[in-house]
Amino acid sequence: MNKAKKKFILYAVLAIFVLLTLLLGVINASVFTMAAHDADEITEIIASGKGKFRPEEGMVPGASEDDGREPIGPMGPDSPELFSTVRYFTVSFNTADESKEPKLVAYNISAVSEEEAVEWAKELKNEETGWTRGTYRYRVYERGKKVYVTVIDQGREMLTAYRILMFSVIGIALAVLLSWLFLRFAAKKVFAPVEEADRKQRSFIANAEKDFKLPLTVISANAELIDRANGPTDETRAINRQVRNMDSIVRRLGSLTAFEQEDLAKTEFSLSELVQLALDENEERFVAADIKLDRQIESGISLCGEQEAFMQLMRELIENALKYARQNACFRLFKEGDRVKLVASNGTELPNGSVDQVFDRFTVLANAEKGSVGLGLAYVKAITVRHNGRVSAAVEDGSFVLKLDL
Amino acid sequence: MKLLFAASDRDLLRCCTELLGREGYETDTAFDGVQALTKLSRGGCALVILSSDIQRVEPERIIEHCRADGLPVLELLSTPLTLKMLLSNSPANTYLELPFGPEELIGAVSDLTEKLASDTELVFDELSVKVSAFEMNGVPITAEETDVLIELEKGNYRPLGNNGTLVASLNGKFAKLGLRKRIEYRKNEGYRMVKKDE
Repeated sequence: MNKAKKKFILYAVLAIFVLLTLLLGVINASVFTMAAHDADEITEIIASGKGKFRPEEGMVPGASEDDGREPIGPMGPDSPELFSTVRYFTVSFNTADESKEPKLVAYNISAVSEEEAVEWAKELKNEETGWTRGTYRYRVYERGKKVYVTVIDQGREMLTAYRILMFSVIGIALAVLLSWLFLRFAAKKVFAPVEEADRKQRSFIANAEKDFKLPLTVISANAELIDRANGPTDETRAINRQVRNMDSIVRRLGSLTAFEQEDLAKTEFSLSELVQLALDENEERFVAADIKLDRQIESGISLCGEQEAFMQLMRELIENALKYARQNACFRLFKEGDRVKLVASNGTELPNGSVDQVFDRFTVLANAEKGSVGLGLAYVKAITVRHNGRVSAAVEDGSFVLKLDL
Repeated sequence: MKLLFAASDRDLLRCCTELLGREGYETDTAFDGVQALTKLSRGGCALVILSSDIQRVEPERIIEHCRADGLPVLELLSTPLTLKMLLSNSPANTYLELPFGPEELIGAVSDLTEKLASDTELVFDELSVKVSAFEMNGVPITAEETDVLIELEKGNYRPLGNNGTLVASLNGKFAKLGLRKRIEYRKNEGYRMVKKDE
């Protein structure tokens, strides 16, 4: 349940993060694009005046219907303050006579010296338009035999854009943090009914297991009494067979419940030998079922845990292989660093989308054998998790593979 | 030999009593804890079979009473046997988990009576086990634990399998007694009794 809760919080936070990033990303991209567009409008006005504003020659601020330019806001051509607020310089180059020195046509900027302005222009004269030194927008254009380089300072305008960007990043981080805090609280509320249902299910299983035991004992004893009085009949044999089946299910349920609730009786034991022994015990069954048993067991692997539980785990894996393997079953035990890996594959295919369900209690897949109750792999998972291990199932090359990481 | 079968389920009582009767055991029954204690105080029983689901009195109290009178108890469990049960101050002499087959019940009773009549005494240095008393240096042990010790004494190391809980319980009792002994699993050898510093 904790895992599901964590998953819920993770996915919800991730969704909020992605959504906010997309939204604010689009807003910020628009702000930067518009800033560049505004700057280009201004450099275009300057270009139309051959490198500077020429109000004395009839140049007026603002876009006109004739020139096709769009209004760009109070700081742009629409503003009567445009001529006095734009920080810019223009340098011209004589293309007909390259020996002539570049000429500073206009200079209305404080952050760049005249010498620097000429140097910048020399660097940029082969370009077209773009950003330089972070917040300076330039435009290179030809008028007659001259090439003009106009550079305007958009620092103050860009500052706003950068502030929006900064607040967006902070906003996203805060939103993620707050939503994580909120979701942690909300998850408790959201999962409360699910946890309650899960608790009830476990309690029901534990009680059912307990409540089944007594009737089974009584049925079995009474069948024995009938047998002893009248001799065995088909009916009492059937009763005994079904009692044995139920007994097996009840015992497994009991083990599963006890295993999840009781303390472990841990001892150091040889897992390599345990796996070998379990496979040895069942080798003839594999031969009888015409299944080739492939074992790759690294020797000398020890484990601290409940030995009985691991014996049961091996039995479950073997039963699983005997039930579902088509031609071969493979068991591998090896060490990878400090971790012990136990891999069981049985060459069988699983119904689509059922890999995640194989560990659920009472989950019987479409290809399951008749009589399966869906407890075997639930037990395998319970044992592994109680020993702080991980278990995963996958389909590799069309074959069902179970991996235990201990 | 007279047995007292104490269980709150009458069907269980009836069929088990009949099965035991056919094996030659005379069986008295008790439907709840109060009745069981009353019958026990009258005496005459050599062995008690007690269901862990007995009503009106906690089964632990009945076991304590039996232990005090030196009466062996076979406890029928509706939950799996745990380490906690084995390490409790008043464990039963043996346990049988439901559902059990008739032969298992008869086998358990017969094993218990055999042990009661046994004069075997196991000695492992400072460790002394009196089989008929179900005691190890004065600490109660179960029939199953006694079996593990008997095999260890014979040198028949227990194979890998279902002994983890019993071994853990015995090691817990060694520690409780302050003994410098442990049952350990040795590779290629199985379980064996070792000194702690060995």
